[in-house]
Amino acid sequence: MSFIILRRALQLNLPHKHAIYNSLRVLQIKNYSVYPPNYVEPIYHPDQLKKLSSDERKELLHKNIKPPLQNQNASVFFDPILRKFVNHVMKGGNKAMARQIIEEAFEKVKRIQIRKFHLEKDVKKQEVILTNPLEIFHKAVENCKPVLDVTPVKKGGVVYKVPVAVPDHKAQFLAFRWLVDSSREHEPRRSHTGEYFSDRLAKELLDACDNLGKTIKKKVELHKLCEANKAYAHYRWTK
Amino acid sequence: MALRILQNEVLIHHIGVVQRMLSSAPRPAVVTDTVNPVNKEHASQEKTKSKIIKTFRTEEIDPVKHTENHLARFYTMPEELSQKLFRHGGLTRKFADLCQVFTETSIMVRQPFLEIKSYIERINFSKPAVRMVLYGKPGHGKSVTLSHLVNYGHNAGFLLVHVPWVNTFMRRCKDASPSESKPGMMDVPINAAAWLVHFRTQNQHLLQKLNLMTSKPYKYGPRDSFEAGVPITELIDFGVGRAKYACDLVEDLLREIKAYSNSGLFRTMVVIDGFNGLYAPFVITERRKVLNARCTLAMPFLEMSRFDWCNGVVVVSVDRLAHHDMFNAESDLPLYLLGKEGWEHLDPFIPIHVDKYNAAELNSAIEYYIDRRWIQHPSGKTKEGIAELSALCAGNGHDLMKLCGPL
Repeated sequence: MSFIILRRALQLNLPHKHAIYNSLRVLQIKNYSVYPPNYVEPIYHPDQLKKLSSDERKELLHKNIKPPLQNQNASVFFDPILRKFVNHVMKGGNKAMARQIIEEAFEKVKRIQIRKFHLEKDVKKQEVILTNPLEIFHKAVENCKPVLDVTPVKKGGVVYKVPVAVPDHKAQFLAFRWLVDSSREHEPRRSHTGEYFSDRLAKELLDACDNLGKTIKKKVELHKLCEANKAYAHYRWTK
Repeated sequence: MALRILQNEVLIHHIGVVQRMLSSAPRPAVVTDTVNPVNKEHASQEKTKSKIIKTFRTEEIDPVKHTENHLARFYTMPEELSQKLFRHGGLTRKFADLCQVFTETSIMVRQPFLEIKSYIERINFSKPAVRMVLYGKPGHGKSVTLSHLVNYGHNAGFLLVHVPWVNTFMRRCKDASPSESKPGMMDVPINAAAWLVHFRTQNQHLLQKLNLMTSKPYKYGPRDSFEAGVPITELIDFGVGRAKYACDLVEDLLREIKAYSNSGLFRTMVVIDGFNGLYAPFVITERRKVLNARCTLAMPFLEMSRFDWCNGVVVVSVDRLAHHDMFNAESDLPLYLLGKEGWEHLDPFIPIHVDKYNAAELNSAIEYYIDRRWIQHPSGKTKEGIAELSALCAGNGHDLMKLCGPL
């Protein structure tokens, strides 16, 4: 709505109209959905459908349902966490490329692990080696999730970093961001070493799976900061 | 005439497709196990060892003994043999990577190989050399079939003249310089020396046993000359050491081999992958420069694929990926890919179609991947997962490998 008003304002013959337009753009409502609130989220995967009880199914019959997103599908190989991770690797809206890069990284993880598996002759030691890249990815993300985070609280003119508990979705977000960031460090190095982003992501996933590496270090550092600022913890609820 | 042959080819192709469609009922790999007497023996042996019998594998490691009973089963090459045959190329890069990960070289026995094998067994070697041309879509297994054939040739006692991929020197040559002996042509010294090394490693046993000698004197430089009666191995070693003369040397070496084959001392198998690359313009990788000059290394291989000699068999493959304009190539059929010149050079030949996996082959490939842990996703081992993979790859082996990559 406000967007339409803005566009109209642009059509008027005002002085500095573009400056006005730009300054007023903040008024645009963000995250505006084309679907009214009575629309419910879609069920796109057979596994989700199996979990529903008959009552829930009956209820859904008479509801308006949003269409699934372009990257949500009914494949047996679909993984919702991986779907989210693709968005963090993506640059400039090129989602197909991001997905391809992650697939490459998974393949590299698998190549390393499978070779290790086949070279190991002892059956008991073989069982310990994780070879499923998706399992490694889940474990790595789980290991990278922080428990505490700091939030700025202004008190008496001083901004304190106050430790707070992290909700799960934010912990996952931080884990994704750190994984991608630590793989992206020194990115143009490719021309020297021939090492691609997917190579470093694969290495980072394997490291994080063993609780090692740069990403885990970032998590530990955040935890250390929280530990150091333990004294301010009560600022979270006192005024 | 050529057009008629093309139409005929298309017709045969279509008949083949229809036949396959009619007989496309999934044939479980297990059924063939009961038919196979060799595997029965192994089965009884294995039972004593209390091992699990894998239906997608065969214990017959000698391609000479492969028959219809081994269809759609994987055989594993001994490690030393695959090192000897394919150390300097011969397996496609992706397939070699996969073998490295699986720590074994396993190839599926397929119909095109058996077809070639049956022809070779029935050839009258006193007649001019028979030429066969493999064709088919990329990813359907032409190169792997040729690798299988190289193993067959080695075990059957053929001298191998094997070019793993023509475009390694026609398009991606390491170094090119004007030829001294043939004015107006270009030498690819490093690639030629590399090919000599490949030839030497593949034919070690035969070269030692036969102890071939040169038939006439050769002169390469002012100080580098060979008299008649010098061991051929010495000639090869010289070529490897002095890459400058390697291109000329390959030509002389292959001429000697042709002469010896004519005399009936041994049989020769010429295997060339991506043969149509020899008819593409010669390209230097740096700045993608197309040269009008022809490549000197292409000449001896063209000479080897003629029919003016006997005791030899020539198996080549034509590939869309070896075409000079691969993204715009319109067809996978030999007439299009070879062009007029190439067609006239190879005519008459036996066309061999390498088709996509049938149901049994696809099942066996997926089972093999599950066994080697290339398919890791728990759903990939279920009925639905296998159905999804088979539908997505559409019987293309390369696509299946790529699809299973991140799983």
